[in-house]
Amino acid sequence: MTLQELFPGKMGKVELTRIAIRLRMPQLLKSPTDAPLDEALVATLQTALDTVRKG
Amino acid sequence: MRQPFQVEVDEGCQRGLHLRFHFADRVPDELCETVLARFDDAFAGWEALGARTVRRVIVPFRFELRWGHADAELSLILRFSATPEERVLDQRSVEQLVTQLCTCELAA
Amino acid sequence: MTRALAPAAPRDHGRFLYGGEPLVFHCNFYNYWLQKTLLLDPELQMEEVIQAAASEAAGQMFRRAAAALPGGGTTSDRLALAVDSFAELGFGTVDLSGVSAEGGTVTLPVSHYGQCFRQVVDSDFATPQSLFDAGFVSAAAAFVHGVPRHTFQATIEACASMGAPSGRIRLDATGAALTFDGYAHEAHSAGDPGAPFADTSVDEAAILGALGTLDFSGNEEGLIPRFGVMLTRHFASFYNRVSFEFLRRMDKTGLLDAAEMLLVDTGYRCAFHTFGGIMTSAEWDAVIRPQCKTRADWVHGMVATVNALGWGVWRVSELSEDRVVVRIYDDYESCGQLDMYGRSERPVSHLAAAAVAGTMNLIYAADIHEKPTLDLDFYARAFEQDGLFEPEQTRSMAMGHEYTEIVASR
Repeated sequence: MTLQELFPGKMGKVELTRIAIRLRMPQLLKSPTDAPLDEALVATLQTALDTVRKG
Repeated sequence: MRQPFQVEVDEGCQRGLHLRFHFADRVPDELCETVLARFDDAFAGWEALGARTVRRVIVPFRFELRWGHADAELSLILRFSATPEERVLDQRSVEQLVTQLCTCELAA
Repeated sequence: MTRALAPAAPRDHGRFLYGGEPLVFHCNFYNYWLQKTLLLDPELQMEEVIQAAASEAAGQMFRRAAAALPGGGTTSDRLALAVDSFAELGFGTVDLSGVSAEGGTVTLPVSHYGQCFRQVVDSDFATPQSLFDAGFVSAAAAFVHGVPRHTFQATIEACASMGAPSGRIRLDATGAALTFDGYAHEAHSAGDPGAPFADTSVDEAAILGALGTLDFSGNEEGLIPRFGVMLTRHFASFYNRVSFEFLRRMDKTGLLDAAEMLLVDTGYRCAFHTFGGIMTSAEWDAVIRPQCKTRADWVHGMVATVNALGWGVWRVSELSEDRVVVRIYDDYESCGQLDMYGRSERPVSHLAAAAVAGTMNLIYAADIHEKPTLDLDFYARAFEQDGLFEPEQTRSMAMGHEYTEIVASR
C-alpha cells in the first residue's frame, strides 16, 4: 500500500494533509507517494483517516 | 384531474426542511389569507427582490411559506424547533390546504 | 419582530459594524469545515481557543452596546440584548434565565452550531460542536450580571450536534481557562477601490440595492435560512482570532504550510456551498441572472454579491477564461491580522484566495449555471477535474500593501 493508493487524487492530497496535521507527521507530506508503506503505518493512517472522515 | 403541484425536497443544506412546491399554473391567490386564518399565531410579511415581491407567512417555530421569488413556486421551510411529528403534520396540512385552494380556483 | 439590539452601522469598504464589531456572512458549511480543521490536532487545545475567541468578540460587542444603554442598562435590558443578539445574528435561541452572577445553566433550544452542523454531516458528532455558543454565553452571562467578562468557565453538557434535543451549557464562576483581551478595529486601506469593472452588463449598484432590501435577520428561532444554506452574520474578530491562533500554534509543529493549505481548502468549501448556493438561488435568478449574458458576467455578479457580505470591497481588475485578478480593499482577514498582531511576513487572506479561485471554478469548470445539486459527490467530481483555477496572493494588506490582490489562474 502506498500513500497514493491510500489518498488518491486531489481530495486525497487534502485528506493526507489533514492526517499529517492530526498525527503531527510533516514527513508524510514530503514522502514519495508511490513508495510502499509498512503495515503498522498503514494501519495508523487508516485509523486516523476513519476518525477524520467522521463528523 | 391533473395534479395541481409537485413537491420536491431540497437536498442541499436544509435536508428535508425545505420543500419546494411547483405548481402547474400558479401559487393560489388566497394562500396568505387562508394560512393566516387557519393558524392562530401566523403572521405575514413581504420583501422586495428586484422587480419581484416575495410574500412570507410564518407560523412561529413551526414553518414558513415563501412565494413570489420564482414563477409558480412555493417554498415550505420547516423549523428546527418543531418536532419530527409536527413537521410531518405541517407538511400534510400545507399540502391539503394548497390542494383545496387549487381545487376551488379550478372550479371557479 | 422587535428585538433589543446593539447599535449597528455600515462603514467604508463594505464593512458593517454591530456593537462596534465587524460582521461577515458565512454559512454552516464554512463554519463546519473551519471548526473541523481547527480541531484536527487535539494537542493544540483549540477548543479553548474557540470558546475564548467567541467570548472576546461577544464581550467587545456587549461592552460597546452597554455604553449606548442609558446608565449602562438594567439587568433586564442586558438580558434582552444578549438573547436578541444571539438570535438576530443567526446563532439560534438561547435561554439565560437559569444563570446568576454565581453561575448556572444555559439552555439552547436551537443552535446553528448544534442543529445546523448536524445537518451538514447528517449524523451525530462524537464531541459537542457548540464551542462558539459556550464562549458567547459566558460573555453574555457576565455582561448581564455585571461581572468581569472572564468570570465564567463554560462546560457543554448537551449539544444538538450529538443528537440531543437541545443544548445545555453549565457556567461556573471559576474563571475562564483561556482569555483574549480584545482589540480595536481600524480601517486600514486608504486606497480608493474605484468603480466596479466596466466591461460587463452587470450593474453592481443595482445588485447591492436589491440585496439591501432582503431581510437577513435571524428568524423567530434565531436562524438565517437563505440561498439554500444556513447563514450566520458572524464576528470577523472570531474568525480571525481562531484562524490566526491555529496558524501560530501550527507554526511550532513545522506544519504551517499544511495548515494554511487547509484554511484555503475550508475556503473552497465556503465558495462551493455559499457562492454555489447563491448562484443557484431564487434571489440570483430574480436579481442577477437576468443581467448576465456571459460567464464573465456571472463572475461580476458574484463579485457584486460578495461586496454585500462585509468581506471588504472586491474589484476585478482583469478577467479572462483562464485568469482573474481581484483586488480587495480592507479584506477582513488582513484587517484582523493588522489589528491583532500587526504586519505579517506572509499573506493571510486564505479565505479570500479560495473564494476567488472557487468562484472561477464554479463558473468556468463546474457549470454552476446548470444548477447542479451541491452535494459532496458533486464537490468531489468538480474538485478532481483537471484545469482548475489555483489562487496566489500576490499582494497583501497584512504585509503592508495598499490592497490585497488575488490572482487565480489555470
